[in-house]
Amino acid sequence: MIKKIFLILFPLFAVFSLTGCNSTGRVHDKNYLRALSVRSEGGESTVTFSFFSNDVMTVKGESIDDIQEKAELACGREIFMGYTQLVVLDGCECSKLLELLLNDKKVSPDCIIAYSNTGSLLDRCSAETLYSSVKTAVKHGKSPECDIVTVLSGLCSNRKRAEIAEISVNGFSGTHSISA
Amino acid sequence: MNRITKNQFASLLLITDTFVLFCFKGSISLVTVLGFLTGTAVQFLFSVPAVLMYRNGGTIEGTGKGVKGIYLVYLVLWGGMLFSMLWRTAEVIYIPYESSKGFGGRLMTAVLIALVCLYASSTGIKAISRSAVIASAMGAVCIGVVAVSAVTGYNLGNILTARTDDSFFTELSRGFVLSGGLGSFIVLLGFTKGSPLKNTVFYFVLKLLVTAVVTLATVTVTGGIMSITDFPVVTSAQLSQPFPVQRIDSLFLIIFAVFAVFSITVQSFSGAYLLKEIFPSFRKYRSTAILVSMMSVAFLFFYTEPYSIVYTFAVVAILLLVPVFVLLKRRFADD
Repeated sequence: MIKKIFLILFPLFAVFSLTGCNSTGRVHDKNYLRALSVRSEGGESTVTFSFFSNDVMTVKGESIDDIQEKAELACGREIFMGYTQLVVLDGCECSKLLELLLNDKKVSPDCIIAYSNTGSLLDRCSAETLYSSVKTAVKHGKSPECDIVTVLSGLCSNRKRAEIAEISVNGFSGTHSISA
Repeated sequence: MNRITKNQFASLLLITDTFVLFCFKGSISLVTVLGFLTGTAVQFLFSVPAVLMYRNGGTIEGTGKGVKGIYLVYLVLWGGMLFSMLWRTAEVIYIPYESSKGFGGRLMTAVLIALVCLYASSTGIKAISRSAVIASAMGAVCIGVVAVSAVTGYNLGNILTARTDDSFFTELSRGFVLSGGLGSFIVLLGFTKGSPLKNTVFYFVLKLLVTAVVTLATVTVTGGIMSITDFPVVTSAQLSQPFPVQRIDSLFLIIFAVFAVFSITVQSFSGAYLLKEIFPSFRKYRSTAILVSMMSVAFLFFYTEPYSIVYTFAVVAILLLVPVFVLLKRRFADD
């Protein structure tokens, strides 16, 4: 009898205590990142965050983790990178950064990697427009496939190089080769 | 004794095999795939003495306390290994709950899984085996989605270009370590209806198929980034997208947790059964004792090399040597 009661009560207890929405996981407690641009100069990185809420923020620091922490303190919310659509690179150590973004920050495997040498592009252009521009270029065969998995595959291959789209304030402007 | 069907038998064992593949740490290449598949074929040959052990109504009850003791110790050690694999892999599984990370979070995950295993063990072999068929069907859907995503969305050329530093024989050995669930194969074979040989063939054919699909899909998805991937099967599930904006993380998360529960439950149930056979007076809290032992033993495996040759010998011993010993003992007893 005791065993039967245990067999019924245990799953009921587990259902009520372990499932459902938790107060630490509310949607409005997070800032959802749409695009990210990373520029490195002399050991310091400048990162511009563009969020789905259309907020844009630029932070300087020594590492991505350090920069993310500063950005979270500034905006008062945790930054969620799981939906990131676009990463714009400029003179940074590509392999390590992309590896960190894929393995630790869990960006989407569809996330596009592009190159720009026009400063903090995300301050001047909408992330949505830049993303659409690269997607269209890939669709028309003007740009190679440059999702994060394809780019990392190229950087991890014997060639240690990958072709990515180059973007400017006018959108897609050509292709660019990056090396590991 | 409750008897289970051939499908239930295969489901219980394949869930453990698949869970261990999910937890695989290291690189996978075509050599790995061939090593694992050859290993499965060799294991089938090695299982012949176990099949003969159960021929003509032979049971594990008649093997003697020493043999049952060996299997009991092995099951506890393998259960501990499963806990340590769960611990290691939980680090990279994407659980969208803040408290799941760190030592405390992973300990909580392990303890909750142990509690569910305790619950499942107390329901008996019939309930576990029936639900295992449903769980394995869910797992098959998940693996199918990953395989289809791999074929449609990734470069099949990765199968040929992915490289590992290990030789074919190292991979063959690792394939044996990943087949640690064969201890419960020996115990459960005695619970299964029908011909032991047919049941064994059925299980090993499905194991060959599952291993081939999981490893080939993994190489296809993560082949290009294998050098920066610690847990390739988990990563391939995380990167698989059946549709452009849809990932299967959440399905994989559920399957991973369910398979963890079933894998450990199968070991604890088999262990509890052998404990009852060895110590008939030990009536209560057998499953609890086995699970606590497994969790204690798990600490031994946390920081050791998971694919040591010692474990390969352990698998060969329980699959081949112990049944051969039992058969020889019976033969001399008959003479």
